[in-house]
Amino acid sequence: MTVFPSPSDDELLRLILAGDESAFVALYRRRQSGIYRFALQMSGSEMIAEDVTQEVFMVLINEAKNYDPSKGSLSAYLYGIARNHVLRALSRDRSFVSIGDSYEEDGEAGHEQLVANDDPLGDLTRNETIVTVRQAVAALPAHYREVVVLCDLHEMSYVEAAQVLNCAVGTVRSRLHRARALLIEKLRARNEPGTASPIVNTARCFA
Amino acid sequence: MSCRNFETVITELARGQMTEAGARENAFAHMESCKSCAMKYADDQALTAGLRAVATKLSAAEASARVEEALVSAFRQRTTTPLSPIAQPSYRTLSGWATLAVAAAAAFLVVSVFGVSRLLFNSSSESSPQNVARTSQPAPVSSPITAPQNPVPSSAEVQSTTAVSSSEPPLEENVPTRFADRSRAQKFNALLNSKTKRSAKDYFADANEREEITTDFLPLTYGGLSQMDGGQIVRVEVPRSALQSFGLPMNVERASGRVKADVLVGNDGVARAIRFVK
Repeated sequence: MTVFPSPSDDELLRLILAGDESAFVALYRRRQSGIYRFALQMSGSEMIAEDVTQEVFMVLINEAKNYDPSKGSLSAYLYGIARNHVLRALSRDRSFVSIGDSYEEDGEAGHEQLVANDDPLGDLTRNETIVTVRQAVAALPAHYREVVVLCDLHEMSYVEAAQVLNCAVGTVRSRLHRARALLIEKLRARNEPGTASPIVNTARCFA
Repeated sequence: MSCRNFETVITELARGQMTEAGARENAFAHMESCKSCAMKYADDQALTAGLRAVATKLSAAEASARVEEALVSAFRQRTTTPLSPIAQPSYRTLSGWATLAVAAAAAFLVVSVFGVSRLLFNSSSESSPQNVARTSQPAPVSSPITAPQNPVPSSAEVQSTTAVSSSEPPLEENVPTRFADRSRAQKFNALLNSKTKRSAKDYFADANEREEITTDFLPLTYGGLSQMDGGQIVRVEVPRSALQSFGLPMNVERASGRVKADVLVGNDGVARAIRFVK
């Protein structure tokens, strides 16, 4: 039996430029989940995440020829577009997005089926931890939040994250280090309320 | 390894990204002798575990099928009519750059209209003001005015204004002439400030023949008319949607149409105020 290797992103893009719909669908199905999760984790809103995913692939449909492979992978290109749209959406809807919106509430209900239910007490603890960590990430300033989302939640390398964020690798490294320190500080303060620092109680910062 | 050096590698160490075996051994050796760094490492490890749990929980999240359907539909439209703007799906809005480009083009158009109308006026008034006064009103039309130095006239000045007005020739002969004396300018300013229908009749010959309804002059710049020492009124046509920009009601069904407006342009060339004409 002959196994055909799946075409690379660049090959699919070439076919898309030639008008191949199946190539577009294949690329969309390969990349949409990552883009959607990135937007969801950055914005905390499923609605924004869907809009951003749609916008990203609309850009691909209309301006695919603008992609320059020498500047990074297609995946990084798509994440970069998603990032710009997320930041724009956050800036536009600043007053409407809060930590406790659909991502925390609907998201919990929507993805409940993803959690095994063999150990209810363990699941409860794990769910609490997940919610706590998620809230702490959501409360980070955007430039720290994005490196945590890309490097820790999407397991990108520093180089890939730097391509997405259009910055130096060293910048990604230092921001991640600082972001994790902030997260530890926030999580520790949650566990020990008496030691809460002023940073802990601030709402999401979009600086 | 010092605590400072340990601090620089703790993130990679906790994330399992530290590839150099030697550096990793040094870091673990340091933790055995430094409880503070060992605690930091434990915190970082716990954070890594928490973040991985978050990532795992959301690993199957994806956009709804509706998004794929919309995109495939847009792709089909795009491939069948690649250059037609109709191919753009209806939910798309102008991107930031496109909006800026449209705004810049509109601004350029308005500035060009002002510039051309000023040039036309200057050349015509220098050659023969009387001839200009008797010609029909072109579009755009400029009607020069000079605003007063002192917005509150004395009683003597008011009397003088009345006298001048009573001895004035018919309006049709005066329309485009520049205000030569201060009292007439004050009269105009009073009319301008009163913002009645009469102001249109006084300064546009056409207005005598066909009734024009105007809005108040709406300031375009900070300070509005107070900082103006003279200028012209220029008749232009602007998109009907401009009404909305000034908070005026607009018939959405006729948004693509145009509406007449008078722009008050100062001697410095800056548009100071606008009123819409029906």
